[in-house]
Amino acid sequence: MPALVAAAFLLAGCSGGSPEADVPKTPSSRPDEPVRTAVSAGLARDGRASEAKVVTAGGSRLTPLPAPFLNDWRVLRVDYRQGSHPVMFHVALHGAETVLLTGDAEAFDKVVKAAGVKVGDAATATQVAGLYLQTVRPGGTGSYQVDGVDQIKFRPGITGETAARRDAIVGEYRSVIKPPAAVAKGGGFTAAAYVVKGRELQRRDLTIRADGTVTDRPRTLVSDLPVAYVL
Amino acid sequence: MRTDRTLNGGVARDRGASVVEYGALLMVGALIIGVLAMTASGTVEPKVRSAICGMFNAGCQAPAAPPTTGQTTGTPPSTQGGAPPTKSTVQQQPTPSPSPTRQPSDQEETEAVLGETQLGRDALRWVRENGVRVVYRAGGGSYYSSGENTFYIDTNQSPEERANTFVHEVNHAQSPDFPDADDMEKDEFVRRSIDEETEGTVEAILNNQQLQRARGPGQVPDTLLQGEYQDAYDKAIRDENAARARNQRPPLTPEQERELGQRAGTDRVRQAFQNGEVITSTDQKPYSDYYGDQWEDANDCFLWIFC
Repeated sequence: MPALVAAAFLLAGCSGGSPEADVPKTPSSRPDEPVRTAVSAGLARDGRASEAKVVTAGGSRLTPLPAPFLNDWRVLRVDYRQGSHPVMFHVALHGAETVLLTGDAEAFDKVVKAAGVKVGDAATATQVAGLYLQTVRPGGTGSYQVDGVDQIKFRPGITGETAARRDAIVGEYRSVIKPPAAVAKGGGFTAAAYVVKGRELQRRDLTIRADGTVTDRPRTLVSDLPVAYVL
Repeated sequence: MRTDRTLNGGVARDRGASVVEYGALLMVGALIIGVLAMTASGTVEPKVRSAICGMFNAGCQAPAAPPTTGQTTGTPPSTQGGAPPTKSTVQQQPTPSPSPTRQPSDQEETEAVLGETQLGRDALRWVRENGVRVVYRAGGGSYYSSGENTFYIDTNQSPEERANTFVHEVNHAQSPDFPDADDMEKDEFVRRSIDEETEGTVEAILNNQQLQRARGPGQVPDTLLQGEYQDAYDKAIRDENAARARNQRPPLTPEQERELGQRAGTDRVRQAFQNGEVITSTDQKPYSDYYGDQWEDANDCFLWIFC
C-alpha cells in the first residue's frame, strides 16, 4: 500500500504524452508499417517514447542488418533525417519484444542470450563482433569503426604541423588497422577492432563467448586525431 | 462505490463516499511522502520519480518550485529524442531552487551558465516565451525537433557546451519550418539549410566568447569552429588594414572591423559545413550531403513506400 501511495504521488507529477499534433506526420501506406507499429509499441512499453515516435514518423527509414546467427531475432537500423541533425539508433526485435541496442552493451548480451546464439566458428564470431560494434555504439558522439586507416575522417584542408601529424598517424597505423577477424581462444574467440571515438583512435579487444556475449576492452592509441568535427 | 444518475441523464461515477476515501488516501499518502522527503536524499528522489514515471510510460514534470527567472511555458514533455542510451530525465520547467543538500540538476546547471551571457539569457527567455520543451538526457546527441517543438540536450556535454548548444538550437527553433524541402529545389534547400546551421553555430561561438570574457582567460575552452571563426575574423581585418595602409587610407573603425570580421568568420564557418570539416555523428557525412539526403527523403518517396 505505501508503495502504491508513493507511486500515486510521484505520478501526480507526471502527465501524458504530448498532443497528437506534436507528433511528426505518420504515413499509412508503407509496406513495413506493421513492423514499425510493433517496434514502436515495444519501445514505448520499455519507456523509450522518443525512439517509439521516430520509428513511426514520416520520413524515417528502417534498414535490416544481416544477423543470421540471431535465429529468429532481427536487428534494424532506424534513421531519421528530417531534422537539422540526423538521428540513428539500432533495435533488436522478436515478435512483440523490442530492445534498444544503441549505447547499451548489456542489452546486446541479453539479446544474444535470448536468441540462443551459438558461436562455434571464427566466421560467426567475427559477425557477432561486427554487429556488436555497429549496434551498441553511442548515439550523437561520432563513434565509428574503421577497417583501414583511410576510413578515418581527417579534417580536410589541414596544413603545416597538423597535416604532418596526420601523415605520421597514417604511416604508423596503415599496417595496423584491419577489419576485425576473430580467432579461437580459450573456448571462445577474440577479435581486435579499431574505432574512432571523438578525437580518439581506440583499439577494442573483444572477447566473443560461445553464447554470443561480448566483452569489450578499449585502449586509446591516439588521443588527439585531427579528425572532422562531429555535430 | 456508487453510480449516480445526473440531472442531464449522464452517469456520475466515483462521487459521494469516494471523496472521503480519496481524502483518507491522500492523508496517508502525505504522511508517507513526508517520511520519504525526510529520508530520501535529493539525488535519489529524482531517480525514483523518473523510474516510476518510466514504469507508467508517462512524461514527468520536475518538482514544482517557484521560477527563478521568467515564466516557463513549456508543456510537460514526454521522454523524446533520438537514440539516447539512457532515459530522459529533467525537462523544461521552472528552475527548482537548489537546496544545499543536493547537486544541481542538468537543467539548473545549464540555465546557470546561460544566465552568465546576454545571448544565453535571450535564448532562455525566448524558449520560455515560446513554449519550447527542453529534454535533458544522457546520450543521443543534441538537436531540435520541429515536429515536437522540443530541444534534446545531451547531458554528456559539459554545462558550458550545453549552453552553447542551447543557443544554437534556439536558432533552429526560431525558423522551424524553414527551409522547407517541399517548397524548393535541392540545391537551394541544401544552401539554405547550411546557412541556418552556420547562423546557429556562429551564435554559439558568440555566446562562448561572451562566456570566456565573463569568466576570464583560460576558464572556458573554445567551442565548435571558434578557432576557425576567430582566425578568419582576425585575418580579414589584418588584410584590410594592411591594404588600406598601402593605399594611404585610414584604418577600419571598430564598427567596420566588427562587421568585416563577423562576415569573414561566418563565411569560414559556412565553408566548414560545406567541405566536410563538420560531419554527422550518424554516418560521418558532410552536412552538405546530409541535407541533400534529407531533401531526397522528403521528395523522392512515392507514397512513402521507399521511405
